[in-house]
Amino acid sequence: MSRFSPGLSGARAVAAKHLRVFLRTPMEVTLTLFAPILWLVLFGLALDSVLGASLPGVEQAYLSFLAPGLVALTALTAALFAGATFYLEVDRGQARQYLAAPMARIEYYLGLASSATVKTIVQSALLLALAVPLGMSTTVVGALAGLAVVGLFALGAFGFSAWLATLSPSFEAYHGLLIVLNLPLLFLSDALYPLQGVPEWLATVAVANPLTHLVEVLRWLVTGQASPLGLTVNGIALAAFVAVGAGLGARAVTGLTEG
Amino acid sequence: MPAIDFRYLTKTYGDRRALDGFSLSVEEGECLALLGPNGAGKSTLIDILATLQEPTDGEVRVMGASVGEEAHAVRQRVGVAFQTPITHDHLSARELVLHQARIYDVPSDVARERTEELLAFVDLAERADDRISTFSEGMKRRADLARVLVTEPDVLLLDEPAAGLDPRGRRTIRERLATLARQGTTLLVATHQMRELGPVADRVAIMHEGRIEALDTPEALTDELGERLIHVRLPEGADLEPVRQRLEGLGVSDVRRHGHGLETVLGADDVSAGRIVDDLEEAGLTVEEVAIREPDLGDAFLSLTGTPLDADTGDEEGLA
Repeated sequence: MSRFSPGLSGARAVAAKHLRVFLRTPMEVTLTLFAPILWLVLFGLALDSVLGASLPGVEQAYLSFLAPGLVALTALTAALFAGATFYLEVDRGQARQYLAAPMARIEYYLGLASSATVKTIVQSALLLALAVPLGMSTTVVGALAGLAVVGLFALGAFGFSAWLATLSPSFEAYHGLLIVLNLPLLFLSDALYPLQGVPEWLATVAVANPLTHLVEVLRWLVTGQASPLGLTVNGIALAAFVAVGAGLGARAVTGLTEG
Repeated sequence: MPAIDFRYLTKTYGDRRALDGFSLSVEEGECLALLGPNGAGKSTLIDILATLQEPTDGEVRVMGASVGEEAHAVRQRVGVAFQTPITHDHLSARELVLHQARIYDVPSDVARERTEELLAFVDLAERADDRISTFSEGMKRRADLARVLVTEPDVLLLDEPAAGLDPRGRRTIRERLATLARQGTTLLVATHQMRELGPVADRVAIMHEGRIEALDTPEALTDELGERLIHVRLPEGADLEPVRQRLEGLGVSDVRRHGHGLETVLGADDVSAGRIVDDLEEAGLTVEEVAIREPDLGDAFLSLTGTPLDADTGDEEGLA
């Protein structure tokens, strides 16, 4: 059984390295933000002028409804793709540096998860900052609180992606899996449209989708819109998602010892 | 107290025995080379010492600490340069070394000082700020060596440290390892390239199919083979049997097939190499080349296991 390094120096070093690399690869930020920005600028502005607040369940301008949904999409994408960094680190043998170091194996996971969380918050903040001049109404406190929730969500999403990474037979399979997961999670949530009036099966699936709960909490925090499912339900669902995701991720990373 | 101590070490994967229950000790300050082809069990052994795999059976201790029960203590004292160097392409060489120091909680001023010394030691001082992605394979290996050394490990494990390097790169690595050996670092080096460590290793363990077939000094292992080795290379597809019969007719026994030819070791009292060449010519046998040289560790491996160590003998000439 290995012990924690002094002051969690191992976890801090892993996180610092990943953030340094993140700052040096603007491509990662650009690619993660590309789709949400496209949605926000084209889809958001177009539907905002067509629909206004005429959609059932939409209390404000459509762009204010859509922007928190796209922040949630950004958070999901960023956290899931942080798992790709982990996959490559294992695949290229770089993870062995940490597994052979005098630190608890969980520190490696903590370093990865914390850097993934920071990266996700940064990218979500960039999208929020872009949404404001386009017409989204928010407050500084609301936006900061929303980003804090995004950070918690990222812990769970990264855990799931790290777990999937250790199960995937190849990087191509893993990457394909992320893409396959990303869009259905978006469309089977209320990120783009309210759940009032959608087919019942879709509304039922959306309740089981963690992205739905993140979107509803973000709408409440960032733009002050009420949560249709209720904040208590949202909170329980998100807590369960984070706990299960982080647990699976931690188990996957600490189980890398053999082989 | 030995720096490394194996007792009846066994590692199995299903029905396959990667390590077959051997015992071995490496003394403090000793350089031991594990010589064997791919699949001999060398990397498995390194992984067990690095606490990345657990033995199926047996006891392994590093500086007195059990790898199974005191993994943290082992990790504090061991440095590992894996077969695939740890490089992190987006970092510079300096950042790579400092990153390792941070993981091990080396005080930052000490880490900075050691990093500069080590980058100079591996001839990368002038490229310290360049990203590792721009480095050649040899430079990456040198940067990785600096990374491992920054924590000043008591025991240094190196898995194929010269793999993929050109003769100059291999020579540089060999010189650096010789310096570390002189400084008293305990070295365990897994290699399949026989000349990589010949001059550096105090002892060589010949590994084959998870077992140690022989353990001795390089000189003792090669001395047992005789004074001269003669290799007769034939055209591809040529029948080896007539040549074997001519050699045996001259009293040369223990003739082995080797690549496109035959090979045997001659003692001081055996027939001369010149007489062999004359005899083959008289018999009208076509040979491409007859080479005579001193036996080396690759020949010792072949003699002990019946299989050649590797096919890199041509490349290795540059290290001689």
